[in-house]
Amino acid sequence: MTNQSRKLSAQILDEASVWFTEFTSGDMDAAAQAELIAWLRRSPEHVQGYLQIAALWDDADVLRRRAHDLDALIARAKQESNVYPLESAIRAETVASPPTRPGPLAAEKRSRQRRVWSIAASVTLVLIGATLLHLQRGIYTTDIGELRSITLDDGSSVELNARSRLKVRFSAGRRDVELLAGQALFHVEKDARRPFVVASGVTRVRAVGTAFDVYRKHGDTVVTVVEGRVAVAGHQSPSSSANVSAEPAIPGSDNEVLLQAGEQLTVPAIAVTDAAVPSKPQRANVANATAWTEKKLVFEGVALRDVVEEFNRYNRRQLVIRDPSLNDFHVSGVFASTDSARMLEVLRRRFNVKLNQSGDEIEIVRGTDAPRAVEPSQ
Amino acid sequence: MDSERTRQFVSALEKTHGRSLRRFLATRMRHARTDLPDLVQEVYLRLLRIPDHEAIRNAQAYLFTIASHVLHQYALRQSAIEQTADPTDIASEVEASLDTDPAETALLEQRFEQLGKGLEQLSPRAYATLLMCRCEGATFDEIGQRLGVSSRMAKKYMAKALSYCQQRLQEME
Repeated sequence: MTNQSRKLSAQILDEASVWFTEFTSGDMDAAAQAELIAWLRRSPEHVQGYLQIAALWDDADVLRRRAHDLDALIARAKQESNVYPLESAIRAETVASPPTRPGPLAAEKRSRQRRVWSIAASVTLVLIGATLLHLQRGIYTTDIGELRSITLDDGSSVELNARSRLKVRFSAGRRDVELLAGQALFHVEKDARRPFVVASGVTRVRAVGTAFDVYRKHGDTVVTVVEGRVAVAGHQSPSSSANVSAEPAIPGSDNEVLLQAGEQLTVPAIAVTDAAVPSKPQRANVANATAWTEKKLVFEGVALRDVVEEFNRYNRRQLVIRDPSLNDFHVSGVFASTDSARMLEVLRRRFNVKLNQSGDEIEIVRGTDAPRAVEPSQ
Repeated sequence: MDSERTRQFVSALEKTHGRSLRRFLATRMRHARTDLPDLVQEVYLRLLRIPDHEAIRNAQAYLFTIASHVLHQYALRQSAIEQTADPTDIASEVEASLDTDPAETALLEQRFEQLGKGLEQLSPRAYATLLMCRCEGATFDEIGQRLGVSSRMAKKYMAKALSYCQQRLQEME
């Protein structure tokens, strides 16, 4: 086993710590208990985080030996509020300044200087704090098998699928979100003055108040509208940057396509023609496209390669296909995303494949007999 | 395991072994390091299978009970003994796990010495909160009063302390 005892992100450990503290305080009512269960059910990493924090709490018993001078520590802690780094900054400045002859003027000058420095230092601290907070808050990452629900500052919510990465940047005039990898389902709060724009590669999806799914797959972007309408724009211009910080034009120009509820559009990574958005919206099965939020995978004649890729988002034991001829197999069915065993069983029976297990991977190979019919029969 | 039996487990185990159960989990979690992701996945899947999860009154006891089941079965597999799901087995195993290994205790003490120093430097308030809460059993109201902050703030210090320690522990491993 290679990736044993996975390390958890600081964000998950923070959340687990908040939940554990809340539980320990005994202040949790029935609604809060239900929320904790919901949080735990959202991701195995949450379960791991909570159990680890609980274990840590027990182990922390050994700190008892260090608790004898607690009163002195509390006294120090009360003094040391947030001004501590500030004081050290001032001290450093005073030491560094050239020695001046002590006199009433010099002293006054120095005290003024000190004030200016302390203000400057506190401003810097606030800025650093704000930036760190912003960076931490602005990026959400999920690992294999992890689903995350995020509520944004404006009340909009995001369901983030496994193995995904999302960057959120809100300003007074607009709400920018960038899907860096994976898949997310957005429920957008109406705010006509602040358009909600999701960037995924070269694709821009603009919504006013609606629900839609964005899936970034091999560079392509698949947009599925659950509710309301969205406008999708592809390449702005051949030279346009894929970076959201380059202030992309808010879609509203010719090269955008309006999508209604129940419609789906795939924007390829590379522009096929000069027309920015190449394909036409298609009717989509919205329930299938968003089944992942219920930890289900729905396939209708999907190539084995893509099926394997989907399962690999949710399961640490990765499925591998090295024989390209296996890609002709197409799979139909509904599966639990965390249960690849059942899908493999179906494959084995239907397509006569064999499974070679080694360490953390399962390779799918052709069985010894001649392959049977490839067409799905469901 | 049906939900009614689970519920009985929960109340029985939590009533008689509340703290011991956690201790047991802590020890097991440390010993099961290599298989931890699999175990966690199993706990998670069992959580998902609970049909009426909205009605759960004590979320933590539920989680711990499920986890102790999974760990128990894991331990049985490890020792190649036939599997049973008798609650008395688990209870006796919980008791047995309380005799801790002195070498392990020494390692723990060493690690927490480091953690304590680091946390004290980072945030004396968070460190003081952790000590008051863990070693004196103080409530967050009391901690807040002693530090001159609200109990809400005391909870934040506590969460910060726990998260910091676990992050450092991850780095140490």
